[in-house]
Amino acid sequence: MLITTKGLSKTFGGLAAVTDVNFSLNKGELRALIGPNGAGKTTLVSLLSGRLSPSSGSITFDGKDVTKMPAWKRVRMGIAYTFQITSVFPQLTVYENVATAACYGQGINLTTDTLVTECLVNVGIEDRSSIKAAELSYGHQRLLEVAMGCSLKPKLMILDEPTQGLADSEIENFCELLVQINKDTTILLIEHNMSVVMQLARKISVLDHGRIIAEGTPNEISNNSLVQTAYLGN
Amino acid sequence: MKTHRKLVSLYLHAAVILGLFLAQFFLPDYLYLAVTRVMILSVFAIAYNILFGYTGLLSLGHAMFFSVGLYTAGLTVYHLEWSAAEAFVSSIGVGLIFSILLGAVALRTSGVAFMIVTLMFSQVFYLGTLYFTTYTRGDEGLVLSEGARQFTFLFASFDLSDPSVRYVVAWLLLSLSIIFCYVIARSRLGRALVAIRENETRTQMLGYNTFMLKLVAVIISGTLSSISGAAYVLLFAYAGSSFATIQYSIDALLYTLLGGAGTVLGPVLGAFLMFFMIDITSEYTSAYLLIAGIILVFLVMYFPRGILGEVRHRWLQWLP
Ligand SMILES: Nc1ncnc2c1ncn2[C@@H]1O[C@H](COP(=O)(O)OP(=O)(O)OP(=O)(O)O)[C@@H](O)[C@H]1O
Ligand SMILES: [Mg+2]
Repeated sequence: MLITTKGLSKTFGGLAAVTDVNFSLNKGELRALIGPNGAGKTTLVSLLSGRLSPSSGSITFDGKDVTKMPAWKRVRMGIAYTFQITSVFPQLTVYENVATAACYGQGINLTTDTLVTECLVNVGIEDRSSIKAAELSYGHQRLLEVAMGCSLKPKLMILDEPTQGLADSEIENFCELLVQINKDTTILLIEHNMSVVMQLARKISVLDHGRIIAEGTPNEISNNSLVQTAYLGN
Repeated sequence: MKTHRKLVSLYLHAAVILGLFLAQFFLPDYLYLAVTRVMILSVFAIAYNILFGYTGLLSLGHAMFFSVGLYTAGLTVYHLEWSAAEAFVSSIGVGLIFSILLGAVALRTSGVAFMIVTLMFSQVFYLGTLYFTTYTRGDEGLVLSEGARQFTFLFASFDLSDPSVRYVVAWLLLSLSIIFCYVIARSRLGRALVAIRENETRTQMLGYNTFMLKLVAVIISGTLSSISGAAYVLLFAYAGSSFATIQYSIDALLYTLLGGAGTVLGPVLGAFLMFFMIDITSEYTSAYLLIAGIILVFLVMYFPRGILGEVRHRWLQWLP
């Protein structure tokens, strides 16, 4: 088990955004996390990455209780996180963005330069390495974020709606990229685009009103009546 | 190509340092003292820029750090008859302590709240200098005697009331500060600070302990400010409450904005330009501050990056 949560909850004032979630991921998985808008997906992964601290419950990562560990330490343990809203260093060059990210990677012996170049090549934006991140197209900014995540050589990569706003052609390449990354990295993918989910994930978790209401293969999930009501309303 | 640019940038900064040294042989008398003074204020501005320009934290309390150095050195020389060297070294220590304290408290806030907290600290210190008038002589200030400003270094003795000694000491301090800031800007620490300025949440989510890094920035910036304050009182023999007013924090901010925040030489350029702007306009009108103000508004509106910031943006991307 790479990451496990027990009775994880988060409330904002009176609002219960995540309630009593028992969730776990195996090493090597590519798991999709889906659910309607406002279901609590971003909140849940923020708890995993340490951006938010839980109201109750516990999180174990790589055999260690990380519930109280600050986010930056969890990153150094191997949890990489890409934001739902694009978050790069707009005034730094693409290269500098990845070089900044590569600093606290997982005990890798590559020089920064080799590592940065490798990551840029993998996502396919190496030809843009010397322009400012702000000048990249939206799609390329998302790829840059993935490159930044890769440069950490994380054990777990959490992607919050990475394909949102991408063109169809870009999405296809993106899926291939994720398959590639998944060869040596566990991935937790929040995704609204169902064809992406069905194509990539072998297992799906469904969140609704802060609770996990179903977990299973793509087939099981698409035939689950609880999931259908959650999406369609009743 | 990359090493070539690095060399050009090294030469450029070395040339500025050399130019300032040579200037002492050409400067007219009336500018000699003024340039000495502006060089010390440039050190203050460089210190300010490390926090504001590189880390992106706008402090309104740097007058406190400056006057902590000013008063530590001034009071120990005046009342305890410490030597200039002892006073200087102790002001570094006291500056360090104040920086850690202010950093630990103020960094719990950000943005406008950070500005207000730093301002409040600074105001308390200012009121303190007035309250302990018995020791500080408040607004009137302390004037150090000439005897107190002799010091020996490497078996030679120097007299800080000698204008050419003063010039060289100020130049030395400024040169070291430029080199220091240059090294920081190019270091891993400097790049981490810039990352925090650009996007703190992202930086944190890449494994950086951003609180600790910001604290380090406050400590470096605050302590260097105290060093400039200590140098000021030892060179010019005067310490008064006015140095602790918000005016001096604003000045450091203006020098930095004018010359270019986040560039090594920007604050130095800004300090010199402000000085000459006020010097020239005050010849023609008594409303010189108004004119300086208008020029500043103009610059901020059309060159928000400051002069060197604009130069870097348009032509010299490699400028640190
Ligand atoms: N910082 C916050 N303060 C208060 N309420 C919040 C905060 N963050 C999220 N919420 C609320 O918690 C609930 C869950 O939000 P969350 O962003 O986790 O949903 P989501 O599943 O990611 O939605 P989406 O698909 O739109 O991204 C929502 O009702 C949201 O308004
Ligand atoms: Mg979300």
